[in-house]
Amino acid sequence: MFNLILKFILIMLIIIGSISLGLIFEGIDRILTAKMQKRVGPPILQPFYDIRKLMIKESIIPKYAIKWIFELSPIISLTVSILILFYIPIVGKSILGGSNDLILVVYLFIFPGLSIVLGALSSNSTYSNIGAQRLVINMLGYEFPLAIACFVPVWLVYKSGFSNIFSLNTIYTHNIWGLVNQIGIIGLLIEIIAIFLIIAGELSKSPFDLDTADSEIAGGALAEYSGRNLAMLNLSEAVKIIAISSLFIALFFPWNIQSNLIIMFLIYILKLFFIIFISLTLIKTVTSRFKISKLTGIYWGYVSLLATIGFLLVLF
Amino acid sequence: MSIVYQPKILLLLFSLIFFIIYLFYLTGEKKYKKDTVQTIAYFSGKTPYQNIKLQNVYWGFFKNFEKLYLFLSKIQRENTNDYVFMFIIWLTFILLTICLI
Amino acid sequence: MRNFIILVITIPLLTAFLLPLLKIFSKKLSNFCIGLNLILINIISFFLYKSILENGNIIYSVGASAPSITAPSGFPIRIILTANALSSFLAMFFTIIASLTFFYSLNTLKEYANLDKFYILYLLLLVGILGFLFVGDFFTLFVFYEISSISTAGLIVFLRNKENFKSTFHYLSIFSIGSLFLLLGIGLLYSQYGFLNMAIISQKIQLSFLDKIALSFIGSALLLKVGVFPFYFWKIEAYKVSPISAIILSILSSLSAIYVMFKIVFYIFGLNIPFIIALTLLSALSILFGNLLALAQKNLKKIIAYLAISELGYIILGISSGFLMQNSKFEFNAIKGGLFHIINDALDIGTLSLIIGVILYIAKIKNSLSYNSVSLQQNEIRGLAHKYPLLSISFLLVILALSGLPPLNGFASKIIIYESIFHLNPALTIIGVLGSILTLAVLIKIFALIFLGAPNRDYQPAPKIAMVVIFIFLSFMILIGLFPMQFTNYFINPSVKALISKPGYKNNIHLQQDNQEQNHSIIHLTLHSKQRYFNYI
Repeated sequence: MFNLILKFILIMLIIIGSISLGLIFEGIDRILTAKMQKRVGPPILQPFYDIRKLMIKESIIPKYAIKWIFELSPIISLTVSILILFYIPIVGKSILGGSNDLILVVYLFIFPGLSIVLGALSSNSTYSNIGAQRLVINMLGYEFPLAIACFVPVWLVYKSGFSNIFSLNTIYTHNIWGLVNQIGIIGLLIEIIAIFLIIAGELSKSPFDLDTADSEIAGGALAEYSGRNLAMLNLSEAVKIIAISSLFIALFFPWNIQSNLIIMFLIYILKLFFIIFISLTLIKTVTSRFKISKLTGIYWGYVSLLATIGFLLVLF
Repeated sequence: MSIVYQPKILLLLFSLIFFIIYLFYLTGEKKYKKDTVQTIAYFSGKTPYQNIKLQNVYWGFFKNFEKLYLFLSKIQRENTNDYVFMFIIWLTFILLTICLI
Repeated sequence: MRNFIILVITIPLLTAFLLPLLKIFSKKLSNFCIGLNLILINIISFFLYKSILENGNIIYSVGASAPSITAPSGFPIRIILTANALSSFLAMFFTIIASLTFFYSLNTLKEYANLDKFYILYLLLLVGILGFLFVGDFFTLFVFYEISSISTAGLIVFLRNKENFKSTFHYLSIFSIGSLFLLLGIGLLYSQYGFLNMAIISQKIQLSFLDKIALSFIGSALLLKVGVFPFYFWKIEAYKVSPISAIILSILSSLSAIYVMFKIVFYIFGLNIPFIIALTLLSALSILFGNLLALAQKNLKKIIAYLAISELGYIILGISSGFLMQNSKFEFNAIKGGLFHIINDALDIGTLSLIIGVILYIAKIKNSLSYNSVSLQQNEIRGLAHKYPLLSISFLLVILALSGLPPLNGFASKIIIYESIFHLNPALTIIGVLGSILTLAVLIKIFALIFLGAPNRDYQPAPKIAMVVIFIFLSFMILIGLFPMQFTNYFINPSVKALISKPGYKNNIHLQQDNQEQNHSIIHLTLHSKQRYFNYI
């Protein structure tokens, strides 16, 4: 019984922790973006205020929308984003470590996008429809380089003769940077450049923010969402930032100093900040949006080429 | 072999988190003014045809792979000759690979 | 127990030819008779599977003085049926699906004329499928190939539109070539060894130049039946015009052709490596092109066909890369994933087809031709989710299962395939992941166009029995998805052992002959010229 309560507290802690961490990072991202554009920017807790505001606003359901899909999809998106965190090692081993976590996590990352697509399509709005289609094209695009990049550490672990290679815990505990030679390190660095682009795509931030392009299609997939539904979507966006960054930290930045948990957690936060700063803030500020008719070509062409070159260099 | 993955734990944890999130969701405002202009899907300008037409779904994707799809539509023209031709090509290929290697 | 294997094949065959007679009395009687017959073969195939798990493989030869005599005496041709754990499990599973589909079609097809002829062809195609699973000699293989080809042609032409006749013509012309090549390959083998029995040929084969030509002919003809990447044309033509229940049986016949293809390649030709590598490449190409082409289609039944091609790609990818990794510890797992995916593919694609059949029924689109591109482009069917929430939940579950998302059954088998083929080549795993996200995009497109949006007109209420059948399929999918370990332990692992235990197959044949030699002196071989090959029997 006591064990059960402990587990429940742990789950609650992860839910609240991931949401607040995501929102704080969103706040930091806003401030840094403002600083780069020579603005003052909002306070760091602004995302929290936004969520509170949205929770007390009316949540309108459009006239011909399918109500249950429209309302369930933001909640499912948030739920799965949090669920992924249970499979990723953050400090020490992951909570639900199995033997095939990596494939499971790659597949679970489809869910938030899928539920936003279904919710947007069910709203029967033209803008949402176009946004949802663009999100699907975006998902088609980044999934290919994502798969290539994720399987590089797996291949390294496999070549080094470890068993249980698809487990994230295995990859996390065997530092992949120690398993490659000099050429391989160049390969891994190239892989990391690809990963920053993939994260930007996965979070559909600029230059891949076609699905929510405010200036073209009025918010796209999120056009019809308001009130508590929009709050859930914003929260799921925030948690997704944490989840995808944690996945790549576990895969590519696993340097964990074996000391007490608090120091490990602080190092994890630093890594998180580094990844989020480059893949979100920096890329977002210096680039502008791609055309939708070039998007898949960019992913399957350039980004995948980058990831494949990294993979081939690692093979040496 | 080892356990592939544990769908029951996945589903259990999913439903637990879903329940907690749903409780939080219920604290939000659920009222809105039904059957008003508020509920009409937003569109700037003249109201268009409501549903996106089939041939325009995933337009950007097909625009990107226009050449590939043109090639693919060229090799299958709903013509029996093409089908038999493909079969012959495969047979020569597999005969060469099996018998010469 | 030994007679069950012939009963499974003969009962539907006899019922099929009894139907015109029964129709004279009453239409209901004939339907009742088909239902009874399907339930009967379900029971028989279940007991067949059970007895094989307990007592080992079964060999049955028709026309011999005792059913276990496999070595021919005198005239060297004899119909031989063999069953192992895999084939009997597939037979059990396929008969369950075929009977559920029959009950479904009772509900959705009732407005058509000439239904009795449809069911005759339906049962004949079922005979072809089961025959493929149990076949033990080459000529019987050819006979069942022809039975399933011709009955499929009959099912394609059933709706009798211009388009149907065109498709049937294409189908028949392709398969006349295919069966000719099959016969040519069989002839090459027969001319060299003087036998048609698969077990005996597998013992005597020398893998000469002619044998390799025979392998490529037989393999290509069977690949044509499977319908992977370069051979998929007939599938599109056939599925586009046939009724849904015929599509499902056609999928089952493709799956059984996969089994017989691997059986022949592996048992008889001793694992020809170039052929298996070619198969792996073909399967990767079918995953990619099946999905890419499905994304561009406008016709629902064509989309089913292309998705079926890509799913077949996953199956062949798993099994063939398992054979390529022979003697490593991943062989078992890769083949397990492939065989597990046969079950999941039949369930997922089957449920997708059933739901699409219900959609066509409630939208009153009788003629499949009118649905061909014109009506979907103008969004004739839309907004079904407002009125049919159960149907749309089922479709959402099929989306998850077919594109291999957890926690449904598609993921359970795909994860095994990905994990094991990674050791062969990581590129194959990456193609698999890409294929499943493409499948997702295709299914989202169908869902958005048909189920979402404002409803535009009135639709019929959903047919009740058909919905029940869909729910049975869905419950299978969910159960397999939630208990993949248990399912693979009970059903798939014995099947994998049956497929990869080549010596077991041969030894079993030896055993049967040894026992019989003591009792029947007749079976001492009269073919003196060939006798030196039989010293070890």
